[in-house]
Amino acid sequence: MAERPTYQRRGAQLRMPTFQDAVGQVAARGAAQTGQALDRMTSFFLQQTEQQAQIRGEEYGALHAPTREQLKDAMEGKDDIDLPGGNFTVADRAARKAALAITSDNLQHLAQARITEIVLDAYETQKDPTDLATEVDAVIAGYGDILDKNAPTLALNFRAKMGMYANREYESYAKSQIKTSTSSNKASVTQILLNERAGIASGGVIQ
Amino acid sequence: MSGLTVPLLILTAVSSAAAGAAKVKAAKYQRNSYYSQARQAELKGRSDALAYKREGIDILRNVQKTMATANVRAAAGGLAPFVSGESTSLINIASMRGAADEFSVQTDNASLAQSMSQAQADNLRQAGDVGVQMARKNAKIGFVQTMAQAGLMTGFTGNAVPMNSGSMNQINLSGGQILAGG
Repeated sequence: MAERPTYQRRGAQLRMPTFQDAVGQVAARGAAQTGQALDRMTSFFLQQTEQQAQIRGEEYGALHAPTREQLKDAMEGKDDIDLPGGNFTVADRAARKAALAITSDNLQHLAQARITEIVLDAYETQKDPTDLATEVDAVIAGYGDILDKNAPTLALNFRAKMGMYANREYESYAKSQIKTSTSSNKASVTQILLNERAGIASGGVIQ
Repeated sequence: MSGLTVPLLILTAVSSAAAGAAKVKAAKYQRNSYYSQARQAELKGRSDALAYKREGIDILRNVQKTMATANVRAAAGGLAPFVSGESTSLINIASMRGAADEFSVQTDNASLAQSMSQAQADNLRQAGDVGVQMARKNAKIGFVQTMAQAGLMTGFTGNAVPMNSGSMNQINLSGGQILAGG
């Protein structure tokens, strides 16, 4: 019997062409650029807002800082001072910082004025230097206590500054006292010698 | 606002607008490139479809040869080649079934190649257009951003008297006399 051929399959398969989503890529790239631009703009506006808040806070803090009278009252009554601002927001922190700076300046001014009064009084009454030092220390401690609760760091700084100032004043007063005391001693010795000389001249005997 | 600030602001605006226009122009060149790629994709699709069709024709030609050979051999062997139900007829039907399957696959391949290339071309054209749209949008945002920054940097909302204004250039002397400067 003759052989009859059949069709030999070639193995044809369904082929799916590849598809590249260019729109997605372009849109993603463009959106990313838009996002970056908006990010930059947002951060710039945030920066501006922060600066505005800081300025506003500083102004508020400066306006509402305790007055010298309030500080005097606080020292005399040992009350706490009421400082504006806080630690949570930028405006709060700026207000507190400005208020503390002004309070510190005012306290220094008050303390220096009081120390000057005490020193002048000491010159007039020829007070003992140790008493002067005690009084001046009391003034520094009194004003320093006001800052202790609200601003311990500033209180330390205040005490250090005022301590140096008080030391200069004390040193100056002590030197002046030594000088006065030396002159006074010389004068009294001279007077004694003159008296002795007068006694000798009048025929007296030195015993 | 001082005399120098306005020209600087104008320069900033012009520079920003020029930068934006350059970006849009670059996007348009990119769009042209995408259009070319789209045309290429279409041509490649048609070319691929043609190749698949050619393969389909080869399959038909092949099965035709196979059936002819079977018929000839059957006739030479004393068998009736065209009688329905005979073995030759059954063999030829089997051949046709295989060939029809493969021909169908190649037709589908051609159709897929053509439609997918068309989709790819449309996608590429759309990508070009989207790129230009995005560039325009980004240029506008960039312009607004630059002008806002420049405005906030140079703007002044307070009530200060400018240093070069007339009121600062005169000195009041005793006796009501005014010494004008500048």
